This record gives sequence, structure tokens and C-alpha cells, in this order.
Amino acid sequence: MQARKLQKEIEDIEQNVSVKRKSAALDHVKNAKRMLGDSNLIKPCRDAKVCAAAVADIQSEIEPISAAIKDSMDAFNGSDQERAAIDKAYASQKKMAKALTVLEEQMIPANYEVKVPDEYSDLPQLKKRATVEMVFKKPNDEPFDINGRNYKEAKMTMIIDGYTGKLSQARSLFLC
Amino acid sequence: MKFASALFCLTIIASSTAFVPSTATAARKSVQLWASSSDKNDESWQYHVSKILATGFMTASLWAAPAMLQNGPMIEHGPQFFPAAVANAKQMASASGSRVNKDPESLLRYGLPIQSKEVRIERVESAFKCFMRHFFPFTPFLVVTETHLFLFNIPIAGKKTAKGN
Repeated sequence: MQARKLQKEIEDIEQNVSVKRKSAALDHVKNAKRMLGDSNLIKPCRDAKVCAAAVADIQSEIEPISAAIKDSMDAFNGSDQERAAIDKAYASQKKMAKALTVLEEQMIPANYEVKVPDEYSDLPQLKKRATVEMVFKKPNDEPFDINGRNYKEAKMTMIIDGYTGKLSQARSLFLC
Repeated sequence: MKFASALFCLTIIASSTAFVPSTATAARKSVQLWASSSDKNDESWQYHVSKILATGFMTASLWAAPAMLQNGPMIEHGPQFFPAAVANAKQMASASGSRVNKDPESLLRYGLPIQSKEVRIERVESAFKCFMRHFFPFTPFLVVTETHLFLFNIPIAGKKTAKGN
């Protein structure tokens, strides 16, 4: 499937930038650019407009990420310039990955549902994904000391996946 | 190149027949079966053709395995057993080793059911329907269901049991 291939290319950009294999990262950018031009990419989408917008978002980051990677290649190893260029590349890659998530979410069939045997049909079921945000606070408003910096509260976001565990994830949601 | 591929196909067919009874024997056997019981009619030439195809496919997949792409005898190479053909797989992020995929967003993306068995079956069905509509527009009642697709791989003899009859 085209979307999965594109996902691999986009994720490999980050992987290669992180280990400073910059030429390889540029190759993945080129591959991603080529795949974005493929008309088959958005064929399985539910809403073609949303998918086209997501593809356009990814395409708009191709030039910035290429420029950032090239800048990091031109800068000296370990220099501030290289660090800044790599950070720009990371930021672009994150935007691409976010748009890719939107794109892939559109490829889930509209009537997709995992069948549950009749004997379990009375149990709660989570049909899609749920997001749970938890906020932790210490008693007497004591701060969380993380690397010498104090935080009043700690936030944790959980994404509970009903696609893979329709019954068990629903049970865990009931515990929250 | 064409000669090489033709030779390859010929070799596969030749080698696959080594695992399958010869056609003469098969014909004799089927005649005997027809004579003894009418229920065995299913095990005719279709059954043997599917058997030949299955063994041919198995042979081809074994020959195309990465270990078989090695040049020269494998034992002499010792620890350098796997060639560059499997190097790509080694470099990919996996569930073990030094390149574990720790990106939660990536894992969530891979968890989206866009390539699940149900979705694949749906796609095959719709593609087949499209094909039938295009080439055989006057046979609107021919529909391939999920059950047909699953039963496709089951030997003819076991189909009744698989259907639950």
C-alpha cells in the first residue's frame, strides 16, 4: 500500500537525520516527493478533499526539509549552525508526520468494525480510538522536580486503541 | 534474459513434477476413483492441477529465498552467511535489536486498520466485482463473497466440512 511506503520514507528521514546520515535522509525526502505525486496514494481515502489537503501539507514541507538537511551538511560537525539546521529538519519532519497521520486516518473504511462474538456482546466496546488526558498533582502543591526545573503538575496523554482491542481497551477506559 | 527466465520456468515445472504423481498415474487414479464412487468426482484434473501449481509455487519461493541468492557454497562463507539481499531487513526498525521503533506516533499509525485482513478482503472483493462488471457486463449475479475467498485454499475434499455442512 502506497501510504505505508510513504510512512516508511517519512519516518526514515528522522531516523537518518538523528544518526547524521544526511545523504540517506535526502534520498528518503526524494522518495517521499516521488510518492506524493502518485495518484494511487489517495485512492483509498474516504474524503478526497481532506486527503488532498494532507498531501499538500506534506508537499509544502519537502523544500524546507531538503534545505535544512543541505544546510546541516554544509555546516561543521557539532557546530551551532548544524544544530539549528537539524532542528529545522526535525520540525519539518514532524509536520509531515502529522499530515501523514491525517492521511492514513482517512483510509480506514467508513463501516470498519471488528466483530465481537455474541457471548461478549453485553460488554462495553471501544469502536475507535479514545484520548485520555491525566493531570497529576502532588499533595500540598509540591512541585515535580525534573532536571532541576520545577513543574506544578504533570500531564500524561494516553491514546487508547479500540481498533486492536475493542473489549479490553473499553475495560481499561472504565477503570479511568 | 528471456531465455534465462524461460529456462527458470521450465526448471520449476520440471522440479515440481518430481513431487507430484505423473499425469498418466493421475489419470488412471481418477478413472478408478470415478468407477468406485461418484462422490470423488471432485478430485479430478482440477485437484491435480492445483497440486502441481502449489508445489511449483513452493519450489519457486524456496529458490528465491535470500539464502539461495548466495554465490558459491554457503558452508565456506561461515559467519557471512546472509548476503546483501537481507541487509535491508536488518537495517529496518523492528521489535528487537538496536533499532526498535520507539516513536509512539509511528506505532499508532501502524496500528490503524488500513491494511487489515478485513480491509484486504473487501478490496479483493471490490476489485473482482469491478473486473467482472467490466469484462462480463451481462452476468450481474456472479458475486465473490468472503466465504468463497476463504474456501478457495481448502482442498475440495474438505470443503463440505469447512462450510459446516
